[in-house]
Amino acid sequence: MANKIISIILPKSRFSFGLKELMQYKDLIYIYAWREVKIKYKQAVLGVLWIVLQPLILMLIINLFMSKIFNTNTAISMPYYLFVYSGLILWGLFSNIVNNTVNNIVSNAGIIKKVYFPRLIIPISSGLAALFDFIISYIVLLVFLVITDVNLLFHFNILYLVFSLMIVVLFGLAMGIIFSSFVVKYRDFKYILPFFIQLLFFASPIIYSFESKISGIFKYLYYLNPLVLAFDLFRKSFINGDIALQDSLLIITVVIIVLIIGIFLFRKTEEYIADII
Amino acid sequence: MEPIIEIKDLGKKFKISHQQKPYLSLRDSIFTILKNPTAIFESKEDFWAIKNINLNIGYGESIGIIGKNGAGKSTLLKILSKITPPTTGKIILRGRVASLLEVGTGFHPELTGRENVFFNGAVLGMKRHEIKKKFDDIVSFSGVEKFIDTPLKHYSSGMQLRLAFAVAAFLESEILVVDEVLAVGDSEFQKRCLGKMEEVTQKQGRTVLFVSHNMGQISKLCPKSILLEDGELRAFEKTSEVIHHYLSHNFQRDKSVFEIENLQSYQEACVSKIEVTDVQNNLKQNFKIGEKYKLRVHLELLHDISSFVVGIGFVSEMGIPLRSIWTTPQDYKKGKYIFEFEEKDVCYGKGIYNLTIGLSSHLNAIFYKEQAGYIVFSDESILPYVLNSGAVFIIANSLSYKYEKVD
Repeated sequence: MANKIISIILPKSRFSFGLKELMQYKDLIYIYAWREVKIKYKQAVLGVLWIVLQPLILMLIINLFMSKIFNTNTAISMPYYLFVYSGLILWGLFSNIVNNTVNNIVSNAGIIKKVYFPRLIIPISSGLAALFDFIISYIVLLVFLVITDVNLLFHFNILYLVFSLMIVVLFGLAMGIIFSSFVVKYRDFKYILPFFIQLLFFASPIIYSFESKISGIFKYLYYLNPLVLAFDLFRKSFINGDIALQDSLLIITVVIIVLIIGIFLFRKTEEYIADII
Repeated sequence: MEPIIEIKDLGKKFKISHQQKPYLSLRDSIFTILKNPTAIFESKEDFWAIKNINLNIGYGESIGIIGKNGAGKSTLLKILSKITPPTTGKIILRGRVASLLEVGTGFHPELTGRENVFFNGAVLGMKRHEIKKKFDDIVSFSGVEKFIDTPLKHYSSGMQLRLAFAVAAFLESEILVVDEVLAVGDSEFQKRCLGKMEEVTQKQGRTVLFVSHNMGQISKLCPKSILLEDGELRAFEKTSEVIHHYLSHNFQRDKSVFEIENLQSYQEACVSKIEVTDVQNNLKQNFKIGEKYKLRVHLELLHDISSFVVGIGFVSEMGIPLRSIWTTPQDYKKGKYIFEFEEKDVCYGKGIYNLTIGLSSHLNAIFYKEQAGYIVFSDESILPYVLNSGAVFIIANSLSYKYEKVD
């Protein structure tokens, strides 16, 4: 009979990211993500089709009303609908990760109170579920590219794509877990979150580009938003363009630091989450 | 051999502020600090949900946890299942823990039975291949094969419960922590669960911690139990001893007159009062083992009733019905009566006996009330021996009763 100590429960554990434990729970991460995707489209007749329809319809609306205003912008070096669609799907990835993480922490309170598992599973699987949506709408983007100009595919820059996705996913996770740490304690942050998301939407080059219209201190503030670079990288991955590599690495480093702070905060919250949620 | 669970000086403290809210509000926190900057340093009231728990549990033991609501049972289980950390002390576990604080955790109405089994199993700590391997067994144990690919929202609540318990029944771990999950469902479901629990504890030899308010279930499953009172460990011994201790300390068992309320709904006859007396007709609460008692039942017939019977049932503190006594059928006129029951040669073991009272006419019940009253027998005995709790010693069937019409 086994007689070795399997685990010790102590008042406060030493800080760790708990990566080893997360690996033991990888099946749960997978099932959690899969469950989220299923639940989301279960009762819709069109089901998974909505993943594609949402950004597509939004793109048509924006194109209808905004193209006259923003089309003349010299910073946009591609058809406006392509600019908007690519912007919307990447934005969708970011906002889904943040929103799903925060909502899932609150809506899974019942599970959190009754079962133990590393709570980081919830943000991670929320991220995976958002990534699933993204991949499907990305395939549609590729179709658009082929329709627009087949040659675009030959300039494809996979490194830019990977960097941009890294920034969006990691930054989304960081914001998600930081907000959920606060929401667990103060529900006020649930109401602050939509404003924060809205602010980022307008501050990022999603449906327009205003890079050339700002200067001075605002320019610094503008580039402080990691998403600015992510959108730039994302679009330049399929149209020819250059981006300084060190900028990307710098932003990725910053995002990772923010993420580490977020994980630290989240792990602290995790200790008493079942008591106060 | 070293114990499988070692609990040392375990304590869990909650801070309770005076305005308890479902969640904290930022505004409140800010205003409190603005109004009274020293408030941050003021200590809030501490509340120890559990404290100073020291306990060693050996391999294969199944332990019942008994205590009133708020005694700390659930907190103890939550710490053991790592849901919430303790404030002091530590627990050493020499086996994997599966905890079942509720059945069907994470069940989602939109998902099918199959999908829910996978999620629920994963949340309870099963690996995907493990669930796949056991899936057929789980489904056939639950008995919902036909509906396994139907969304859960179309299930009856009984079917949901059966499916949920089936998943839990196939958990594999050395230690199983179970909280009051058998309290739900119909009696058939409870029987099934209890059977599975017995298999887990007795045949598979796993270590089980089991919380329930049903003393019958606890005494059936757990040879030993612990008693928690106000977060502290009061007893850890044989289950029957612990139950007796718990029941005699936590409930006011000092009544000898039991008024029965809400009688308006009875159209034919009803019992309004039961009195427990000694043979000299003095009211008495606490009898010695072997001492004679009398039960006086006050009842009212709202019209003439033929073939009328008064019956009294005795139920042990474990919830087991022991015996019943009956009057012979007879016709009675409308009015108020007092029936007096006396038994000469029946002895009860120490403990509390709940009384069930029923009235019938031509074998049809017209009044029925469980726990209408109780008789308490103490440790003292006037016999040359002590009878254990729940034991009845019938020397001869010597029931005698008489009645008088008072109105």
